Amino acid sequence: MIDKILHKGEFFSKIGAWVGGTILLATSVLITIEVILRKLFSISLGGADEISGYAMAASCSWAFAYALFKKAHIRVDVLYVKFPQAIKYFLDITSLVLFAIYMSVLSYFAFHVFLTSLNRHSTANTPLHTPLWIPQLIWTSGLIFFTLSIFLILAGTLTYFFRKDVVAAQRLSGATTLEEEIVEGTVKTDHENEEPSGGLK
Amino acid sequence: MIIGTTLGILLALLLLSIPVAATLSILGLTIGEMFSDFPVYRAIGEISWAASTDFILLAIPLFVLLGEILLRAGIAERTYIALDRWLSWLPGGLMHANIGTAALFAATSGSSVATAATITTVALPQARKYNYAESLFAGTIAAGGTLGILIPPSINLIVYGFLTNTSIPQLFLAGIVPGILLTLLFMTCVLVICLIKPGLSGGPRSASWSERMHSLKDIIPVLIIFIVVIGSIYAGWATPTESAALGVLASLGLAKYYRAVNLRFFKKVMEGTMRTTAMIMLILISANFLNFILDAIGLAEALTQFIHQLGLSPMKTLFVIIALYIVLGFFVETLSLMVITVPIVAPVMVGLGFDAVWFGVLLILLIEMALITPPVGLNLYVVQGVRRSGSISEVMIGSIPFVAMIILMIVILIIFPNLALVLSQFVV
Repeated sequence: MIDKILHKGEFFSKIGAWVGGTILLATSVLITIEVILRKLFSISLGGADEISGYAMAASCSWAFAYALFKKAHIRVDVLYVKFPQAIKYFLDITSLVLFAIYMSVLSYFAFHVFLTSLNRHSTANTPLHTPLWIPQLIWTSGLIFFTLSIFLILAGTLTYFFRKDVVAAQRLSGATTLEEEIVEGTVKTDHENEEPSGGLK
Repeated sequence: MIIGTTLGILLALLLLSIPVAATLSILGLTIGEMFSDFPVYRAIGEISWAASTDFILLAIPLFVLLGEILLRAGIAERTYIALDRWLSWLPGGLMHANIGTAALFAATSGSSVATAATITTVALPQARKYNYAESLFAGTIAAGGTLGILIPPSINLIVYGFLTNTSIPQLFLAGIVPGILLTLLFMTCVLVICLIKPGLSGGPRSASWSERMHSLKDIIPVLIIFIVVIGSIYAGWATPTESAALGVLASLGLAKYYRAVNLRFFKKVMEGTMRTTAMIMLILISANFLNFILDAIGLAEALTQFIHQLGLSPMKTLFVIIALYIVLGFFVETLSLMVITVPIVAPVMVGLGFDAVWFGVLLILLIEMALITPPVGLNLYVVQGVRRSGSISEVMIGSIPFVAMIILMIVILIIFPNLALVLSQFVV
């Protein structure tokens, strides 16, 4: 049961990452057009920086959960690696609880920011007069999704803990092992592509 | 009282391996409650929204994206093969290509982990084939990987600029001369070691001029991207964020030219980019909130006062700070080290009369050193992790000469501060 939900959650967060990355790429196109028009024709689209700011807030808030599933949020593990398994469990669970507290507080007040903009019909102090509640809603919902993911992973870790499934718990929420870090970091390029010229002799 | 409690909670949470982003904001919430008469925590929504939409910070995701595109398009391998043709006739052979590729490549890539891991994967089989001493060989990759945070565009310099309100264009240009100089120092170091002990290097390698000229087609594109990014900032055409956007499209064009672009490529690029971006941005959003709290409770003033009471001269304070970073660098991961210390240390140093841009470059050198000093030197472990044989201590020993070179560079920068400031004076 829990495995299924975790799997779904991770897949959903991955879609968040794909969409977020694509939005960032689109942002680059927008900014590039703005720079070229400004430099060559002295025309300004106006608002490219503002829209890109919203795009960043949206794509990042929706990617936080993905980074959590991938265990990319940095933890200092100098002492962690030296502790016995029981204490590691305790620290993993404490980490998630503190993360949950932080994100619950942030989500609550982020929602408040959104609600205030909505009620006061606040618009950005820019030529675009963007109704601020729109980007703030996307941002806030990303944060809430992240908060829910933290609780989900916490539930998963506790379940594995009571099942005494050390491996699964470690894989889900243990501090990143170097092995995992390298697998994520190393880039395997497809060599079905054109071979680099010559190769090493 | 404030200083002690803050440091105590901070160290306790960090050592208990609480995620850095959670540590910073929980610390902010706690000391805000303890030392402020106002419910300062209520501002967390507004402050996080402001940081999340900050156009300056957008440069970070875009530079990460740029690096991911280049890495996954296989540009590192191409650069490596090309630089091998140009540099490997020197005593030390392929090790110069390691350093050169790392410098060129890390100059555009956001992740020193990805760069070091990729170069190790490409280079290591060659080292074994040609009987290089693996210790020094691994050291060149670990040390080379650190160059990327000094040579612009550098995400660490953006983080420093954001946290201290220092001009990022100035910081970028200030990193160029020390960056090139340190690269040359690394290469000279390899050269001298291999002249004294030729056994550490593989056999001589040579390439014909026609091969070299042919390989230029794999070096020039990377240089063009560097020139697009840094040139547009230098010429005043683009802000760092805008130059990052130009760089993203240029690198995508290059990936397209090498026929690397397909759906799977896009998925991998997006996943890698968002994984790194989300991690960095959440830490920055938390650090930004913590800074607001520290400001509200007056920690920086308390600390500046404390330093004044010590009655140290500016130079002595500088050396204390350097010693502090060397020690912290042994244990704390580098991005965390920066976001935790910079907001507190930089104002104190500027208050003592040091230039903020110059201190930024000096700090980056210290951070580079932290990346290759045990027990927590990330690059050492990455190289060792890809090696999968031998002992980590070999990589550590192989990196020692380069730690010495970084120290030398720090000394040079203190004696000749203009090395950093000579280019940065041309932009605002």
